[in-house]
Amino acid sequence: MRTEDLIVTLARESGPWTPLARVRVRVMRWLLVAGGLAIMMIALIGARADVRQQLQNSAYLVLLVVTLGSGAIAAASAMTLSVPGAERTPFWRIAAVVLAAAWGLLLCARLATGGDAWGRLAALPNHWACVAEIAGLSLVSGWTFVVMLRRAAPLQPRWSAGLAMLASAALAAAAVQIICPIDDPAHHIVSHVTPVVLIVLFGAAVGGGLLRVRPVNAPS
Amino acid sequence: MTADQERQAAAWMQVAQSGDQAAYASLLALLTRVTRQFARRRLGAVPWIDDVVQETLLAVHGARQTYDAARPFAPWFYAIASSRMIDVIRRERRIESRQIATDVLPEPLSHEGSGRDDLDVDAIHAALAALPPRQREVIERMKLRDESVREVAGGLGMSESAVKITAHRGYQALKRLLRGTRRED
Repeated sequence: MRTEDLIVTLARESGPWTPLARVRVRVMRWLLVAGGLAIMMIALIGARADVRQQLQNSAYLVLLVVTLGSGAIAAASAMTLSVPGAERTPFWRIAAVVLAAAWGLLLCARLATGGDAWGRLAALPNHWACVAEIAGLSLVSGWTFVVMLRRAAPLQPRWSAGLAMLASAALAAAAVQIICPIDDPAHHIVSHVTPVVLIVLFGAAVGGGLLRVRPVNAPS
Repeated sequence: MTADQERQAAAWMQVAQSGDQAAYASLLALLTRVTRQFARRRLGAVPWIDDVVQETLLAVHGARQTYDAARPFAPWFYAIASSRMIDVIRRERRIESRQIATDVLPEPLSHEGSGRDDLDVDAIHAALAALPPRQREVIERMKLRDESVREVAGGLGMSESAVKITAHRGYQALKRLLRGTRRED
């Protein structure tokens, strides 16, 4: 097709359109949806019995804040990346990954200082309920995120999808932290951190394809 | 994109948002010129500049709802144009590597049993002699000595992809030279 004909076709196709809401508005909308889903899950399953005391415990609180922080920053980065030219610097997406890594490292440090780290980890203190809750919630809120990203124009689909799933999975892990009564860092590493890592990798692989801009046509 | 072009593009974009197709067509025509210049500056005179232009126009069309009138137009547009240019470059490289792969199938250069009566070995040798030394060496090793791409790469201290590219360019040059010879005949 000649470029002149393409211009005519595109102009004919175009009607009035509504610009997408600002990045921060879209982040807030998603956080409201994902936060609402998380609250619903906590209400349905029930928070741990000592949650009020734990919220005054700095060790518990730091873990919760780091998890929530990496989710919120990942959400903002993914939304920013979905608008061409909006990301001035990769600082925020790196910050999201660093904060998520800090969550894992914090747990590793606590595991190491607790004694018999390898033995506790090798026992694989897994609880499928935690894994299922994280996977279920992050897939629902992650799908919502991907739908929102598809309405924009992500030019780096793998990064956008990976960050979207990091946001969803981190938020789900924070919700599960309020439900799960086990404080052993080995359990957190096996049943909370590992599913999050797997969900992010899965999101980057599958979501990257869903967010890809129409592929460049092979020449006829 | 000059400052005037950016102002004009932003103005047309805002008018086009309310459904003005003429403004949208003018915007796309302007972006065609800008993209062509942008791609030429980065890629030189490649034959697929129009592919970059058309892919960019399609991507701009698909992403038009993400343009925020409160932000400058140029960064939004160039992010799209750069991304599409990279995708087209990747596609062209893939195509080129596939084309070369079929070109480098070893076919010993011989008069007998070729079934091609119109093959003039002298003309081929003359054309080979006219090639740059590196291209001649690669083609002679692959076609006359029946060496594989790996063997040629090892022998000449080149990467395998460099051998394929050199061979491909050599074949193109040979074709041109041989066509010229036939016309003269």
